[in-house]
Amino acid sequence: MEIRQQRSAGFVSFCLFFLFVCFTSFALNAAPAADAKKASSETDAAKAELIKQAEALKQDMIELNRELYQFEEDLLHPANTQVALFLAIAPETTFLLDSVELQLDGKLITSYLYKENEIIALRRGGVQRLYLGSLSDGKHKLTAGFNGQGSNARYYRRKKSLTFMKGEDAKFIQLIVTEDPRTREPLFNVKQW
Amino acid sequence: MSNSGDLALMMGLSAKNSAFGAGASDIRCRSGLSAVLLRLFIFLASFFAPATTYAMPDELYQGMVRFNLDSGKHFNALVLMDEGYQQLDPIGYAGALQGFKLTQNVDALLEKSTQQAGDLDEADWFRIGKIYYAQGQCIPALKAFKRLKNKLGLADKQEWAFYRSNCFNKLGSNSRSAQVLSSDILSGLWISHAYYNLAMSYATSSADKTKALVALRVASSLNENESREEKALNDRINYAAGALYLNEKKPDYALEFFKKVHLDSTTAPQALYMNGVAHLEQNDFRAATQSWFSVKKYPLIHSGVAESLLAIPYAYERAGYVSQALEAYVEASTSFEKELETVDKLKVLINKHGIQKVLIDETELEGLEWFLAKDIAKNTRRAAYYSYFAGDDDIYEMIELLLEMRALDEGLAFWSGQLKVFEKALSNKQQSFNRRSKSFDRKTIEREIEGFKKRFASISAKPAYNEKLAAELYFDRVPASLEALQKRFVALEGKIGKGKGRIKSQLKELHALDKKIGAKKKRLAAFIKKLDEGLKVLVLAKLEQLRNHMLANFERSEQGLIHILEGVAESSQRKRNPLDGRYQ
Repeated sequence: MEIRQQRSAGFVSFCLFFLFVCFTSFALNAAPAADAKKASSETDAAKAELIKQAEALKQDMIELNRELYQFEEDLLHPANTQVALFLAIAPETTFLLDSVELQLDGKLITSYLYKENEIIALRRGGVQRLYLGSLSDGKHKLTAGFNGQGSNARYYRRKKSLTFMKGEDAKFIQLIVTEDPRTREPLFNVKQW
Repeated sequence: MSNSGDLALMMGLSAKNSAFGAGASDIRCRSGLSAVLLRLFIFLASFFAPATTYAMPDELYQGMVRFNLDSGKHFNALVLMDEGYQQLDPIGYAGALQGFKLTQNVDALLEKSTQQAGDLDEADWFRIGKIYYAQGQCIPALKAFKRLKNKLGLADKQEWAFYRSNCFNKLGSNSRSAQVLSSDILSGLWISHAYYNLAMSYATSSADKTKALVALRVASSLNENESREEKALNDRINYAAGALYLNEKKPDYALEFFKKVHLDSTTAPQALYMNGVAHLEQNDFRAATQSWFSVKKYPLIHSGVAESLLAIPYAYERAGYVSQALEAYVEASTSFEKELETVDKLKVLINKHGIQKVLIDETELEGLEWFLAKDIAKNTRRAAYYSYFAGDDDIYEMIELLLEMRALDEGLAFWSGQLKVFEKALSNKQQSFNRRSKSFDRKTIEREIEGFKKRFASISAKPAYNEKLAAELYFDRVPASLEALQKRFVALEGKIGKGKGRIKSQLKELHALDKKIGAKKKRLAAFIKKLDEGLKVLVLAKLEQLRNHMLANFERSEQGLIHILEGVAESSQRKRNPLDGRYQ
């Protein structure tokens, strides 16, 4: 019986010792873990604050740029002298546009080399403003040169000319790349707005 | 069709009008004066044009926004978007905000859009899914993608499957991910990437690497290995497959994959090192050292290079070439020492000048010429350090933000320059306005126009005049043009009085904008400085980590050296009884 009591006391003291060890090790481990957690949460908070400030700045910059573009457009290209040239690609067009060159009254006004993502954007219904400028009233000639690859892997270099009248209102001209549904030959249409 | 335009045309055509007799030559004589008047008219009229917000047809305006959105020019898209567009296309607006990392309102916008589910088409759901995916929200992304089953074109389907598969990987369901990719029609770079990601997910989540290896094999078979992206992915696939086989104690299989990694890829140093390890597993010391020797041309910052430097003497030692091993250890120690010097130099310079000046700007700093030297080669030390820093997510994010802010700052500098040019032009206009407006004499112009009307009447009364010829030469439009011109000149006279005020208000607006730019530049500069400070802390910590790593390598090399020297010393000593020392 005595031995049993001694054994049970020994077991209890072992349990107490084990609990003490566990607690101590937990407390010792918990302290650096808590520190690390605190440091990590401080870093996260600092990061969140930086991002918040960056977002506020970005928002302001968008608004300011909007004002600046508007001011520039009103000043340099007022509605009565404004001419804007756009480009679109009709959906389902397989023609791979490489580049476009635009001439207005015989002078090169812009040329553009396309990236893959821009072609995808155009095929999804995007419209690219290729040129914004000012023109006097009257008759003008626009010549657009298109370079690219057709569905038959043939390389095309085509020119399209248009004579248009610039009146007292802004003039919007849209160049549309499309293709013949039967022959798959690229076609370049012009729409005046 | 413009009437005043027709008048200008008529002036240009005056030579052709000789068929109509004497009147035409009069017109020709007068055309010089009229052209001057016309230029004056354009100059003055430009001040009175209505200021409109994107006064273009809706179809063009919306298309323009879409073009910028879909081609990833999110800032441009946001600048173009007015409130009307934001309401018309909240998904596009959310996409642009997400793309420009203005994520605060994105969830609310998407939630609002998904509540109107009836109005959304496939393209809308696809866009919603992609935005949620970019936000790291896989569950709502999967919900959005679920609505698109069998409703997408083949090209979009590849992308769709990639996002879904990755989402399932992230959510811990590799089997669902594999199920997504199992369709026969899926192929190409998107799917190859998806299989690679699935393989990595299998490799980390399971002890059995068979599934990972099968996924890598499929990823490789779907990769055409032609474009730069395809080649880069293929290198990663081959490296991963080799590493997995090596881990499975199959060095012969591993070697087949390591061999396929291109020498200019980012994984090349690591692949060459592992290639050597695989040879070592086969007890082919010569081939192993050959492989490790070829890694030495890469910057030491790559872990594969450091490991190779330490592996070479080890292999020599095992092969019994003691003197070569000694030399190799000395070489390794020297290399590590040099790299430690570089790290220390960088730390000092970053502490002194900040991140931007040392790592981003093109400056000449004493002691850093070698680091800042421009080189088109990808394996320069500078490039290696950049990719080392970029490997840390926090540094990467901060650098990205810093560069964004610098781009915005450069944009402001551009506008500041533009405003200076505009200011000069407006000031010149203001000065010349009085002179030009005084030369505007309504009575003279009206007399001119009346004169043209009379001349037109006399020409049209000539027997040679006929409607067909007049139409061909746009001559029939002359009366209407003259009428319109008269009306516009009358209206213009009233507006000229306001012209000066208009220039003044434009100058005022310009100065207000300039002031705003100045204020924003200050805010940006302060924020950039703050970012630089934050980055400095992160980069210095990363460099300290690298320093510790290099120091550990140096110590390993020195220990190896000592070990060999001890062996040499022991072997050169007279043989003694090992028990002698006990009784001394």
